[in-house]
Amino acid sequence: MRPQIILWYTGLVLVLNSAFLLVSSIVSLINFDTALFPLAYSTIIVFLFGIFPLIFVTPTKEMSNKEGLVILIMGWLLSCLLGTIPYMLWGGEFSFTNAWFESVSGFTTTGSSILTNIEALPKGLLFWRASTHWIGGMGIIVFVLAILPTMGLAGMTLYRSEVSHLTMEKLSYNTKKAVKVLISVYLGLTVVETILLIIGGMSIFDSVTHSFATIATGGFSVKNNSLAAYNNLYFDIVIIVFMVIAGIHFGLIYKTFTNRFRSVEKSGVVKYYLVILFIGVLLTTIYNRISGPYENIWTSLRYSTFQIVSIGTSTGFANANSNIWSPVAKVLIVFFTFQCACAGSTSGGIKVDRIVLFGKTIVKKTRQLLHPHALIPVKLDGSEITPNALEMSVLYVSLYIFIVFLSTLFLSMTGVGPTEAFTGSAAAMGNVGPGLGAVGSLGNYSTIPAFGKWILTGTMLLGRLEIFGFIIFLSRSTWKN
Amino acid sequence: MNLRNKILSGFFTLALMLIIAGAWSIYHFHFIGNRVNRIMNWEYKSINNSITMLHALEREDSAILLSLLGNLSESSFILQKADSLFVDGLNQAKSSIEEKDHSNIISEVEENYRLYKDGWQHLNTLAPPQDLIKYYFANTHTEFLNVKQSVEKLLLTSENELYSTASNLKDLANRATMPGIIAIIAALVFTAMFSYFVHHYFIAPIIKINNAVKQNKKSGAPINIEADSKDEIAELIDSVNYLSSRINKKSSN
Repeated sequence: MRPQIILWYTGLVLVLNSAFLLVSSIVSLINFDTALFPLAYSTIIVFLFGIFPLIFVTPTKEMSNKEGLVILIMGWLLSCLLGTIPYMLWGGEFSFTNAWFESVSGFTTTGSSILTNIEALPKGLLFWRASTHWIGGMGIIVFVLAILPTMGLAGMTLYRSEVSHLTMEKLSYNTKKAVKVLISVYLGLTVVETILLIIGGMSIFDSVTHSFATIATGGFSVKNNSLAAYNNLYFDIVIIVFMVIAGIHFGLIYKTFTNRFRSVEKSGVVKYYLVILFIGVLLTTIYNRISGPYENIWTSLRYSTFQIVSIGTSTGFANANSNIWSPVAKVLIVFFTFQCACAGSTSGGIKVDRIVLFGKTIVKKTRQLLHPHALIPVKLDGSEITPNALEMSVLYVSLYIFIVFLSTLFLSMTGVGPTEAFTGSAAAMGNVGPGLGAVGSLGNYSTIPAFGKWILTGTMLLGRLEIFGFIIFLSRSTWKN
Repeated sequence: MNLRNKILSGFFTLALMLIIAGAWSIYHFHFIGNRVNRIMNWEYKSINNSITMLHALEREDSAILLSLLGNLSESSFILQKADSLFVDGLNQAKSSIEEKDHSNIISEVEENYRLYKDGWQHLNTLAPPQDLIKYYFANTHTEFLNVKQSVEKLLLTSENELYSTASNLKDLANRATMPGIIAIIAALVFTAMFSYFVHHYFIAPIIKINNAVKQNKKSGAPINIEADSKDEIAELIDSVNYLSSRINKKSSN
């Protein structure tokens, strides 16, 4: 392990963060708000920390897997930590714990907030809050790779650390091209959504911040009541469409736009993702009409579609209070909080791909009980899945559920009610945002005790870094020379 | 980047962090000073003026009641004194207007007081005591209550302002100290990072060169050190490597 190399790459991550802080400072300057000094000072501090290793260290073209993993985790942790500076300097509701919660929730694209009055925040700070989603959505390292002039072996190692195996499956390009595909789809979707929202009459600032949060499947809104504050059907429809798109593998979206529409059409994973969302919306609409708060089927359809898609893609925006929904709808919310969308998107959760693999593994094992000597291959979107990959998927799902259980247990110990503890933990692990009860769609996490907030932020990071990376980072062998 | 610039950049970064944090803390403490000044000069004075106006109003009302009982000379004396006290309070409140809300309330006080004053001046023109009492309860007393209500509104607004400014002081103090705390933590982390770089890129290569030269002196082993940077230290390593190879060549010849 070479600390200077780790410092060089994390320095690059910090310089990237400082660029977004600078843009937020400019937003603050234009609006002449109270966040100008906090943002400007944070920009300088983060930039100095980032640039200093770049001055001293000569970059290397090689990197071990361990170094790649440590850079990834350090990059995330330092971004979250230094991301708290503008919040703490601004003051208001931000203690260190609250600032850390907001920062981790932003970077991991969870979208849970401790703020009771979001609209009291100056525009510059709101922009930084939305920027953390946008940086975290694509993955900090992917952005770093995009700005690196040459990649070399080090770039490939870093790419493998940040981008999961499931994501790489459908990105059959070299590293440089794959990064270009991911960034161009990400940027393109953000720009198109922003334009559509502006056309609908949303202010430029609100459109940009909401697009950042939609494409990153984050969920931070600039309004206390999220999208419910606008009560605008057009905005709801635009955001629903982009939430669904942001939940599909970016490689497939790229292929679709490069005249290979059949890529999406053929994908079993995407088919499952869309069908299960449709069933979820249908059931929620019906039950919310029959035993829920809505007297009209169209009203029920509007709110159910938005909220189910929002949870099912791990975005977390809200246009209605799901606490008053029918029990069936609430159960479906919990299901989608666990599942979320496809691998290769900005979505969190277990992911559709793993759920499909999990189901196929069960079918395979059941068949094998009947035919013990048969060789039964498992295929996903045409390619055969190795037994090792299957085993990893099953292990991931089990570990995921176990961590949600542990987080629920620890949260309950701090005095949080069982509904909030369970759904809050599941929402943190899946980087979804809202749970049920006090932490519901129109609620916030301000009532969670400080220790509970630390547990939830740990869960968010575990969910975003897909568990194994974090475990390897914490293991002793990683730090042995 | 050369050695001197690298070291200078380290110190410059450290100094910049501390200077900005210090400047910001000074700015915020100056701001806190202004806020305290505002509390003393405007909000506290405004409360005081409102209380003065309320006292003056009560005295005017007592004087009117005295006049109803027939004690005209004493009533007129008290009324004049109370009126000048009220006008003084009102003028002071007007001279220190800062907020639009306050300006509206003061205009309301002024207008209500004008009506009230017209009323109690009109009382002097009425003759029989029954008419006076009827007129007082029908008009003057209502106008008195209106003025009192608007002065109390001014008092309440000033008290709320005082409370809000005072509670903001806590937030301002936090904003003033936070950059200092962050700068201290950042300086500590930065110093650790800087000392690591100084050790890794400057001290460790010098130790390596020294050990290699000592080894060469003892056993004649050739010196071959690898440089990890592109500065004067790297040039020194190259020179030592070159010198060693030259010496080795000469001695083998």
